[in-house]
Formats: sequence, C-alpha cells, structure tokens
Amino acid sequence: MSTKIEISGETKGERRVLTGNAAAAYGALLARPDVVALYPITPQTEVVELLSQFHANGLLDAEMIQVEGENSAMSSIIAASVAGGRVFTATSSWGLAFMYDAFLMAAGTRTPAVMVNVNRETPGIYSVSCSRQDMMSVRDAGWIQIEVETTQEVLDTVLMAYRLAEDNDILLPVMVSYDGYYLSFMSEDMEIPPQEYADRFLASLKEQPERLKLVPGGPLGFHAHALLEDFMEYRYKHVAAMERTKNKLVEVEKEFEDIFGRNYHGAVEEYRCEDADIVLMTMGSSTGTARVAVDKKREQGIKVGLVKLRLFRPFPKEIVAKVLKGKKAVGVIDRSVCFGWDGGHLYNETKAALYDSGQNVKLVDYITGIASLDITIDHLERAIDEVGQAAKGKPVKDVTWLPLE
Amino acid sequence: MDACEGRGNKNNLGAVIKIVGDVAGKHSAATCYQCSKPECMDVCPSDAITKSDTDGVVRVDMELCTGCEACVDGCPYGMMLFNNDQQIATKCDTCDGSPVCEGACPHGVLSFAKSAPVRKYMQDEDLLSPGVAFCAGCGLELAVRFALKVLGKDIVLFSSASCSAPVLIGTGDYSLEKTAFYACLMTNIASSASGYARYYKKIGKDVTPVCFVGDGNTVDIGFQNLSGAAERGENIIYICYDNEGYMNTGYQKSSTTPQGAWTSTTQVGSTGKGKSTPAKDMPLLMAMHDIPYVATATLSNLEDFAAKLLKAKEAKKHGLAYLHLYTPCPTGWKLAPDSTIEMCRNAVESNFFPLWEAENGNIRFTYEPKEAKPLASFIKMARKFSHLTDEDIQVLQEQTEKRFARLKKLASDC
Repeated sequence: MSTKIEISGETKGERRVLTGNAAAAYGALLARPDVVALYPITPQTEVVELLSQFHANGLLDAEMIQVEGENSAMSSIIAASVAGGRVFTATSSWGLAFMYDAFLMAAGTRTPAVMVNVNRETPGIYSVSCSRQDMMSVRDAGWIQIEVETTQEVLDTVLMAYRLAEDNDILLPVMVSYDGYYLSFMSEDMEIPPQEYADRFLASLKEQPERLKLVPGGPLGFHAHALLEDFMEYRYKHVAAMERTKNKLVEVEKEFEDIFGRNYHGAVEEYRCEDADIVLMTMGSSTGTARVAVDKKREQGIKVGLVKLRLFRPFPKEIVAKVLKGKKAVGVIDRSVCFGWDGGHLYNETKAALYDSGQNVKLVDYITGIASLDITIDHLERAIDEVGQAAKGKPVKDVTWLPLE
Repeated sequence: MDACEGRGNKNNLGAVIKIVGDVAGKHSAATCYQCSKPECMDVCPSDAITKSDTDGVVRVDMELCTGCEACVDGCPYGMMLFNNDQQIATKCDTCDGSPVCEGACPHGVLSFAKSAPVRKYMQDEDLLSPGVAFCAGCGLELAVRFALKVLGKDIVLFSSASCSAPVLIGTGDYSLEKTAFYACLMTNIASSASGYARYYKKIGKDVTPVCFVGDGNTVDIGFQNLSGAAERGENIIYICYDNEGYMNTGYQKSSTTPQGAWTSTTQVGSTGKGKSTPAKDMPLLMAMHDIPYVATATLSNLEDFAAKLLKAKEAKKHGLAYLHLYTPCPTGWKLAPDSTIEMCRNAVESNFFPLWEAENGNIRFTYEPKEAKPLASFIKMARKFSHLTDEDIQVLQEQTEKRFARLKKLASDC
C-alpha cells in the first residue's frame, strides 16, 4: 500500500508527489536529529523505513536505535534528549498505548521530544483503520498536540514542532498527528524545502539559554521524587508552559512564513467564515472534503463557513470562542468518541470553550470517519443542511453517527 | 594455634588466632581483620601500631610498645592480644603474607586471601551518602556502595522504583549519591541508558551508563527492554541486584524468587506452600545473548566482584555488560541482619549461586567450592524457607544440582 519513494540523494527545495509518511520523514530529516528511535507499526511504518534509508544513504547523520518496542522508542529518546540531543520518533495507536508510561514521563520531565503519531483506531475492537481515538486518549498527558490536514502541512509542522518543543519558554514534547490511511498513504503535490531554509528556521534555538543536561560526574538527578509543593509547582509550571504555546505557535508560524512562504494560521484556520451564519468545525484530513462541501453550499447561496482546528493541546479556547462568536449554529465533525459524554472530543471541548465565553451557540455533533469510514462530500452537505435547520431553531439531533444514523 | 607458635621466625608471643563460638560443636577461627581504620592504632599512646600502605597489615612495633594495653581494650573485635611474659601487645601480622596457619590446618579450612585491591576501594571516596535509609544488614546497600567505588564517579547511574529508589533517586534537588543519576520507569532502564549512550556516541564522547536495578525490574517487567538493549549491543553496564522479590513494596514474588520461598504473594497456609515454580535463571539467559560480558557475583567474594566490575567496564566498550548479584534482603527473607554475608557465602559454597563469567557467551567458573555444601545445612537461616519439609528442600537441592551440572557442561563446551 505504501508508495515507494526514490531517494534522490539531496533535499534541495523541489516539488514532489509524496505521501504524508514521506513528508514526515523528510521533515525529520531536515530537522537534523541526533538520535532517532525506530519501531514499525501500521500505518506509520513507512516513516521509519524512509528514515532508515536516509541514514543508509548518508543523508541522515543520526544515531538510529532499532528498538524492540514503542516503550523503548520513547524511553530512549527521552534519555538522549536529557543527554543533550535533538530526538525524533514516530508511532501510532497500539504503539502509543504501549509507550504510555514513558509518554507520560516525557511530558512530566519537560522533554523536548518530537513524535509523529499517525492516527489509527485503538485496541479493544481489532481494527487496522483510521480514527483519532489514539491521540484523544492521551489528550490529558501533557503533550502539545497538533493535527494536520495535508502532506505539506505534515512536513512543515514537524519543523515547527522543534521550534515549540525546544523553545526555552516551552520545553514540552510535541506530537504531530495526521490521519492514518488517508494522509499516511495518499500522495499529494508538495514541496520539500531546501535544507538551508530548515537550518535558518531552526537556528534561533541555538541562541537560547543552554538546556539543563545530565552529565557524567555531576551530582545532578533527573526525574527525582517531587513531594507536596514541589510537585504542585512542577505541574503549575507545566500548565503555564502549555498556555504560552498558543502565542508561541503564532510567532513561530510568522517566522516560518517569512522563510518558507507558507502559513497555517496558527491554532485555528477560518475558511469563508466572515459572513457565515453557520460553520462546520473540523480537524485533519477531512478538512479538505469540508472545504469542497462548503464551496458547493456557498454556490447555493447558503452562508456557511469552515473552522479548522490545528492545535488541539493546549486547546485554543479563546480563539475558538472568538471565531464562533455570532454564529447561529455549528456542526462539529468528530473522528473519535468521547466515552461517558455523548459525542466526540472536539464537540465537548468546543462546548466548554463557548461556556467560558458566555455564548450559547447551538452545536451539532457528527461522529464520523471512524474505522476508516470515508467522510464524504455528501455526508458533510447533509451536515450543513441539518446545521442550517438547527440555526432556524428547528429540532435537530445533538449527536449523529454518520453513516449509521 | 600451634602453628602460630612458629610464626614468621619472630619472637614467640603466643597464638594470635582464636577459636570462637565453641557451642554445640560449631566453631570457627578468628583473627585480626586488619581494619581499614584500626581503633588499636588510634588509641595507642606511643605510636607503636602502624598500618602498612603496601600490604594493609596492622603491625605492633615491639620496641615502641609500652605494654599499656590500651589497644587490647580499643579493638572492638577482641583481636589485639597481650603477652604477659614480655608485657607487650601482639596480633596477627599475616606472617608477612605467608601465614603458617593456612598450611597447618589439617582440614583445609583456612585460606589466605589478599584483600589489598578491595582494601584500596574501601579507602576511596564513598559515593553514597552516610546514614541512608536502607534496612539493617541490607545487601543492596553494601553492593551499591562498593560498586560505585570500583566504577568511579564519572558514570551515570540509571535505576528506578525499587529499594534503591529512595536513596538513589533522591527528592527534589537532593540526591544521596555523588554521581549523576537518572530515575527510570520500571519498564525502561536499559532503554533509557541506551538513548543516553547513543547521544554520546553521536557526539563522539565516551560515557559509562550504569544501570543498577533490582530483580523485579530486570527479570519481570523490564526483561524486554534489557534483552533488546543486549541484542543491539548498547554500550552500557547493567547490574541486577537480585534479592529474590519485590522487597521495596513488601516482599512480593518475582521471577527469581526460589521455589518454596514464602513471599507476601506466595503465602504459606493450609493449601499454600510458598512459590510453586523454580526461579528464572537470568544470568544464563543473558549469557545466551552472546554479549561481551556476563557474570555472577556476590558480597562474600568481594575481590571476585571487583574484578568483574572492572571487566564489565572494559567490555562495555564493545556492547552490553551484565552482572547478576546475589543480594540477600534480611527484612524480606527473615534473615538475621548480621547474616547477610554468611548467606552469600553459603549460596556460593552450595552451588546455589555459582560464581562464573561469560565472555561473548563462553562460560567459565571464577570460583568453585571444593565440596558443595548441602542446602539443608543453611537454607533455614532465611526464615522465608522455615516451612519447608525435608522433601521440599530436596526439590531445591536437586534443582541446584541440575543447574550447576548444566552450567558445568556449558563451561566445558566453551
């Protein structure tokens, strides 16, 4: 299923048709990591295969650790980071579950690791298919989480992730996620930027105060017991760093645009929202489908817009409240299930954000696209119609499972 | 004691070796321990007692001795003696390295072990703080204190939740050892050390990550990542201190708990008889990885332990070096706190815990008892075995013999 990529031997800016996995591997390559941990899992495998090929071709000057499981993948890069290195790994779903204790450790120890997570259904019901249940199951673990829409955005966001993770104001691990099977294996026209662009973009990290490192001979302990107020202070600072991420992402994207000429609008992108009465809210690869559905409905004279959430953790609640202000109804497209709350994660979190801002905007949720069920233009046109009805005060189900209902 | 009469062609000042503990037919020989900080030397008002820098022996200068007997009172072990005829103090001086008693013993009980290398380490800086919170008689404390001295300060210590955690991990900014320390999870000690080592490899600098880890972490929950690191040839030292269970959480069963042993999760009662299956032979499993170095060691044979630590440090340059330490836990084993070393010695002398090493999978013994001591003669010193019947002990005895025979065969094939 995976697309074979020719390794040209150079990474000068060039247009290529690449899968999301290849884009992730090129992103990691351009970031010049010191240590990379490799473990295969569908639909991520192509990422580690390509990195291995880059290394074999002499393009990637990194220590490659072919670990025996995801727990060791995460554990080894935490330690390599604490030693002083730039690190990378990639995983998905079951692998994410298997590294969970180390995953939490990375966050609690403020390790500036970057990991790609290729969204896949989680264990319990055996399935080799897409959903965002994996990344949502770790939303409270303390990582920065960014979900992307296109292969170009995969590559670009991996580079941006290092600017967030290793920033002295942040120092948190960053997970860049994209929909498995859709973005992971499908190819799009994109640009591999020149290495010197990436170097220039990441150069400012070298000008920061030197990170605390664990060095031999120094009586410094890493990951020591934290008691009482100490513990609370660590948590408090962690949360504060997450809050700072919201503005930092905008700053980083501004610099990115100056160098690369592309921008993803920070935490949230608005599409045709200015005069919209109703909007759809999406994340990830199905945003492209939603753009088409919105365009079609616009042609019919319906004032519908689209809000794409890019930054999921920290949740940009202020921006979400702002962009939804004055809308009559919102249709949320969820690709995961929030057990115990009827509805998906994006739906419930958006509701919470609106409550804080004192707005009572009608939200309608669609659980769709789980288990790699396609989110089609028809589905989203139906959603727009129903949200339009809700905007007029007509009764519409709060949560609809598409295409089950 | 007769042999002492003719010691070293010196003036005959009487025997300086004693027979002690002459109760119920059990006794042993005792003489001066040649203390690293001799109390006798401290209390001597005439500077007649000195400790040699070359052989470590504490000697009395007969010319300077005034016969005040302060040293006799000062020695906490009762090993400074007094010659009434000549009115001077006397003690064992090892016959300057060739003790007459050794050859004189008709039962071959006495042997002379040169402790100079170990003594040197004893004088090195202690890299573990004093007054740490281990139980009385803890084998782990002795092991880690000694291992740190041999390996030196320029290591990075990796450990996790375990008995060693409160001491090694420390709290907040405070740690109780003077080396760099990395607190791992129970699942990721070898993998953490791998990542650390790899970064140093990337920047072209030498580093010695040392994992100091209990048996629960090593043989149970952390087995996978250790095996992976061994197979990948990561340049790290991994030391497992095996106290045969999860002692920090209150003596639960692990995969190295011996068959029959009581633990708090293999209880003894009307149907329970302690652990029902044999222990995992972890050092042999590690040797089967064909890594540069695997060895067993324990606290009764410190020179053997020291030599193996140094070999491990060298072997680490070529891949993973693994040491498996037999480390009694007096609290969890219900063993008298002053019997830790004796238990180690018994384990070695009975072949319950043979001392061997394997370089690249080639096994050889580093010590072999002349005659294997039966388990029945000592096993109940640890009261975790106190409920065992003669038949139960026989099961353990047969397991011990079977494993030793297997090891012998492997060693002879190498």
